[in-house]
Amino acid sequence: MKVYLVGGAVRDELLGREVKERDWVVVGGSAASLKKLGYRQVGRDFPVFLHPETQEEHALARTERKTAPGHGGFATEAGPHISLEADLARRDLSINAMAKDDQGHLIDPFGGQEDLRRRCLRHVADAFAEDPLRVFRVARFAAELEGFRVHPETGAFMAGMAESLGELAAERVWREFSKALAAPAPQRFIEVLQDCGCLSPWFPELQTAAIDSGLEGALPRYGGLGWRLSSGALKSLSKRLLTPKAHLRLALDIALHGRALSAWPGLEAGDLHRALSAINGYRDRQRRRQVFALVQAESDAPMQELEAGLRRIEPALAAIRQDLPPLSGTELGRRLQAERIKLIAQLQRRQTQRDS
Amino acid sequence: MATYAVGDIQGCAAEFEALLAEVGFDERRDALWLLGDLINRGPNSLAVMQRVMALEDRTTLVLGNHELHFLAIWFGGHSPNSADTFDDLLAAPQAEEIAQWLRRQPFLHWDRALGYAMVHAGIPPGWGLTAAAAAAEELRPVLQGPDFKHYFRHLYGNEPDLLTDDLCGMDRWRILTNCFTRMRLVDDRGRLNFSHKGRLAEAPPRWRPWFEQAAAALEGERLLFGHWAALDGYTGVDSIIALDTGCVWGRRLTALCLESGERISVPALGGEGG
Repeated sequence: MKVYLVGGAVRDELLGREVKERDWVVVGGSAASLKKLGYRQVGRDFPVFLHPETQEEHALARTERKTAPGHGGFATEAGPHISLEADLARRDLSINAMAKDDQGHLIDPFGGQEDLRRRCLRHVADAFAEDPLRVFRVARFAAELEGFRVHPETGAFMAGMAESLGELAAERVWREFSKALAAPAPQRFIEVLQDCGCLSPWFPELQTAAIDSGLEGALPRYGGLGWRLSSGALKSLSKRLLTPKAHLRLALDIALHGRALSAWPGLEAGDLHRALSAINGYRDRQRRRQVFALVQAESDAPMQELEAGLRRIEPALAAIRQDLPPLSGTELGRRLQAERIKLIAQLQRRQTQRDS
Repeated sequence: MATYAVGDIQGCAAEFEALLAEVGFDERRDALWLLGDLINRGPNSLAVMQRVMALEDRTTLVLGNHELHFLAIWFGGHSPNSADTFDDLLAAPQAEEIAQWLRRQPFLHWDRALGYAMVHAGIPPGWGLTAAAAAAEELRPVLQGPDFKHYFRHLYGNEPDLLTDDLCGMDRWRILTNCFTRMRLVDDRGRLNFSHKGRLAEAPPRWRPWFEQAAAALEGERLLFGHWAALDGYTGVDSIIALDTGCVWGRRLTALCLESGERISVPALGGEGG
C-alpha cells in the first residue's frame, strides 16, 4: 500500500502558496486494510477515510465513468488494482492532477508542472466535459491563481458545455462563485465565463456589473453588487443561486439605501431616519457596519462620523420614551419618530458645521 | 418541500435566522408556520418583522398576545408598558405598514391535508377544532373591517372569563381573543385564569391546563401552540404540541418539521443579537 499527496496541495506547494488542505490517495489498499490501520470511513458516494492522527482525507484510488446526467450520475470503481495514474486521469486540470510520494518525488503524467510555469489552465482529458461544474471550477481557479489563462482547447470544451450548465445544483454553483468572490481577482471569474459563453443561465446579470476587488471578502463584494444592479436583478440572481440571506440583504440594503446614506450629511433628516430604520441600523450594529463600510468604499461620505454619532445618541434614543408624556397609538409612534428625527438632525448639523 | 412550525420568537432575530439555517430552510420550496409572539421582550422586533414580511409568500402565522399588544398601541390608543422592547418598531417609518399587515393575519390556521392546526395560546375550553376555527373566522371581519379600531380600544380585560352562548359583540370577541392568545389555565367549568404563568406543578388547586380536556375534541388532528414558555415544550398529550421553549428567556428557539415530526432547536444567544 502506498500513500500519495495529491491535487491542490501539490499544486499550491509548487506555486509557493499556502497549503490549506491536504488530500491523499491510497494505492494498493482497501477499505478493510485502512480500517484495520485505524482510519475512519466518512464518504458516502465513494470511500474517503480520515487519518487516525492528522484527520486528513485519504481516498482509495478510483476511476469514475459518467453513466447518467447530473451530479450523482457516475459509476465509481475503487480498489487495490487502480493505479495512481488512472486516479489522476479523472481530475479536471493538469495542474490539479499531480501527486507526490513520501520521498518527495513528483508524479506528473499530464504536464501539470509545465502548465504551472506557463500559467495555463488546461484540461486533463476529454472526460472534462462530463461534469459541467468544471466550467465554474476553471473560472474560479482563474480568479484564485494570479495571471492564469484558460488554454484555448479547454476554453473550446467549456463553450461546448454551456448547454448542460442548467442541470447543476444551485448549491454547487454558489460554492464556486463564493470562493471566486473571496479570491484575489474575482472579476476574472466573470471574464472567463464570458469568454466561453457560459455566463448564462446562472449569471446573466453580471454581464454588465463588475465585482469590486477593492473590498475584501465574499460578503462585501456581493453586497457591492448593490451599487451596480437593481433590486430586481439582485433578487433574481440570489434566488437562482440560493445565495445566503445575509449576502442578498446586504446587496439590497446598498441598492435601496446606499445612495441616500452616502449623502447623509445633507439629506432630509426624515429620509436619513427612514434609511436607517430600513437597514435596522438603530439596533443591528453588525448590519450597520457592513452597510456603512460599503458606502464608505464607494463614496467619500464621512460614514465613520455617522457611526460615531449614532453611538453617541444611543442613550438619548433609549431615553425618548421616558421623557414623553403618556401617549398612545399612532401618536406615540409619530412622537417617537419625530424625536428620533430631531436627534438625527442634530447629528447632521454637527457634521455640516464641522465641514464648513 | 417541508413545513416548519416555529414557536415564540419575541424579537430574537439572530436566533430565528440561526434556526432557519439549522433546518436548512429553502425559501423556494419550504413553508414556515409561526405560532405568534414574533415581537416584544426580545432585542430585535423590527428585524423579525422585516424578515417575516420578506418571507410572506412562504409564511403562515397566527396572532399572539404581543402582536395584539402592538396593534392595541398602534390602533387602539393604549400605551406601552415599561417591559415593552419594541420602540424601534413603533418609531420606524414602516410601522404603519407592519401594523396593517398584522391585522390581516388570522388567530387560527388549520391545514387539513397536513393534519395540523395552530393557534397561539389555545382553543376555547370544551370546543372542537371545527367550532374553534369557525370562531377564529368570526374575528377576521372584526379586525379587518372598518370598525377595527373599536376592537383594539376595548380589547384589554379579563372579563368575561366564561364563554357562554349569550355573549355577543365586544364581550364575545374579547373572550375568544383571550382563549386564542392568552389562556393557560381553566377550571372544570371552562372559566379562564390569567394570573398563573408558571409551571404546571405550581398551578393553584382546581385549575388545569386548557389542553387536558381538549385532546378528545381534536377530531384526530394535531394542534400546535406557543405562548406558555414554562411548559418547555411538554404537554403530556400527544396530539397537542407546545413549541414555546423560552428563547427570549435564555433557553432555545424550536421548530417542528410537520412532515417528519422532527424537533430542531437552537440555543438562545447571550447579549444583543443582530
